[in-house]
Amino acid sequence: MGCFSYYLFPSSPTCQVPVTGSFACQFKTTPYKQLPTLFKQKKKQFNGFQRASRVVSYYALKTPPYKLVSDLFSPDSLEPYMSKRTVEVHWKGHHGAYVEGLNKALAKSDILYGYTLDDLVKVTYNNGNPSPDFNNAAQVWNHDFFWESMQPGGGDMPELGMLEQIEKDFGSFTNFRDKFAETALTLFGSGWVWLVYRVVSVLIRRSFDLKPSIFLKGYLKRNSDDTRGINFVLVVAKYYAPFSSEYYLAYHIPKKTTYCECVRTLKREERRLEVVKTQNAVTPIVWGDIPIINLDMWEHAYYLDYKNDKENYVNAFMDHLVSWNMAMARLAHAEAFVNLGIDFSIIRKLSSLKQILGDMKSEVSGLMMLAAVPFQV
Amino acid sequence: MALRSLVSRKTLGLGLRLQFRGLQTFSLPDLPYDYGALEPAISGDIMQLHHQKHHQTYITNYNKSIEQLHHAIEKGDSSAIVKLQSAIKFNGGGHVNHSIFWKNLTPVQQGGGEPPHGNLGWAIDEDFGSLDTLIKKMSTEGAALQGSGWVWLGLDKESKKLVVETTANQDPLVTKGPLVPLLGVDVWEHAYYLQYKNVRPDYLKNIWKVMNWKYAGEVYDKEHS
Repeated sequence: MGCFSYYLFPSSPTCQVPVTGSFACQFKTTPYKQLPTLFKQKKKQFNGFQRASRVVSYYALKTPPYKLVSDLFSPDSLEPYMSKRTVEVHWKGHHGAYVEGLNKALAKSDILYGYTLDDLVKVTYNNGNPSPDFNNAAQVWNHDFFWESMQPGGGDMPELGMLEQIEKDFGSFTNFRDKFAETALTLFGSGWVWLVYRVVSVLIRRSFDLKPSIFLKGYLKRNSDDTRGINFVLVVAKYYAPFSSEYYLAYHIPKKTTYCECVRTLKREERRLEVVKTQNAVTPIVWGDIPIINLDMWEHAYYLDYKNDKENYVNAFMDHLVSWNMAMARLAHAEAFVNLGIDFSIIRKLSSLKQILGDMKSEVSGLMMLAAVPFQV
Repeated sequence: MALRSLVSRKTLGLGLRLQFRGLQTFSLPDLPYDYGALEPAISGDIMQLHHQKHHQTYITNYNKSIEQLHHAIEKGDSSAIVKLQSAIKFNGGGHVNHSIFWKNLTPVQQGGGEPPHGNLGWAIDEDFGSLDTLIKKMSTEGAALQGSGWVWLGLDKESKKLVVETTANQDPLVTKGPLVPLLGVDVWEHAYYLQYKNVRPDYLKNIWKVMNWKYAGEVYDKEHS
């Protein structure tokens, strides 16, 4: 399924930072370890799509939830709105090339190798000054998301909660549809159009060498994974922002790197759906938005079918391809996550933190470990 | 200024339409060859779409933006003037770039692909070592360009040296410095997709077979003198 990583956003504006000798509970998931098995499983499905790769790769060209490659290798599920030829060239040619490029870069770089895809995209984006690997990582992310944003027999209108949210934020579904189409058609060059759920405004994001506090160092020493593992420490502190809703979230990979962002969570009434457009490979996750659906406006996505008639392509997507089921699931996931609301001010004891995190375990994805520990900058 | 000379050449009759307010609009320049004349390097379908649809759209939107700019200037509406800049840069740049592009290409029968002679030929050898090196460099940079853009062979007016540059989207070469475009290769996907699909390197390999080095030489001589 789509790759998301969600931050833990306490809804309360205050945030206590308990300083204790022993640490917050350890909630570790290691999705990256599952990937090699997944990759091997998926490999069997690829039939006529063998990769003669000698590189140990963690990212495989995922098949979307609907049947894209049949035994005869005829990806015609999205016909006639997206032709089989387009899907083949787009999926195997473009998306496949990005995956290969990414895997090659990962094989060479020890540091990049350990990240989940979401965080890889954010780290290589480097706050607007992207490294050369950003393009491949982000395009893999974008295309994974794109195939899953569509389905055969899609289009039409969303229902229930999704429709309610759209009507709340855009006035009516027609307004939203018009806005989406207009954004797509006024995009200069190559890029993507997104419907996102905005839950934070990211104030700053920086990379720096984090000097962990003595407590953090001890904790990491006692709990760090093997050298190929990831050891993210999500540290929430009301550092420099005592009574506001601003938080510093720091991601620390021992012996490797650290980056930190300061986010301001939006209050429940402020959270809303937005239509955004991005250039080239940029994705809204780099500034904290949660994507709901996207549309590829690079020419390769529509040229074979629609030539330069972008309007028809956008209409075909909205009327026949977009998967509102997927959008609903993503929105529900986003809502569930942000509504969790941990009041950090009442967390005094380690045990209560453990309890809360235990409950959350099933809902939170991408969260590796939580430690409420002060850190030195 | 370069814009006016581009527009006035090879336009049929009503190329320059002066409106009653004296506002000049632009129109699609004719191709100096048939759509199918560049086969098999570039298919006739692509040439027709590229010229009649894409270039025409840039011109239409460019004219619209210019008109809006004219109104904004008359009214003294600074924020509107500034807001129009990106549309003008994009559509106007598209017009400028494609007008150069059509002249950069020529059928094999009319000398397409023939290596440059004279001053340009020597300058290429001096600045890049050989024509092959230059071609390889431009093809590599073109293939590596992410998204949409152009790869150029330009002449630096100040240093009098030849340079290879890339620009994003429809940014004209002048946005990269005091450079005069000699040759431009469109690496937007619409320029090759129907024929080469996602294999941009093949497009970049074949386009040199219809490259009009003579035109590049003429521009070089004019600027260099």
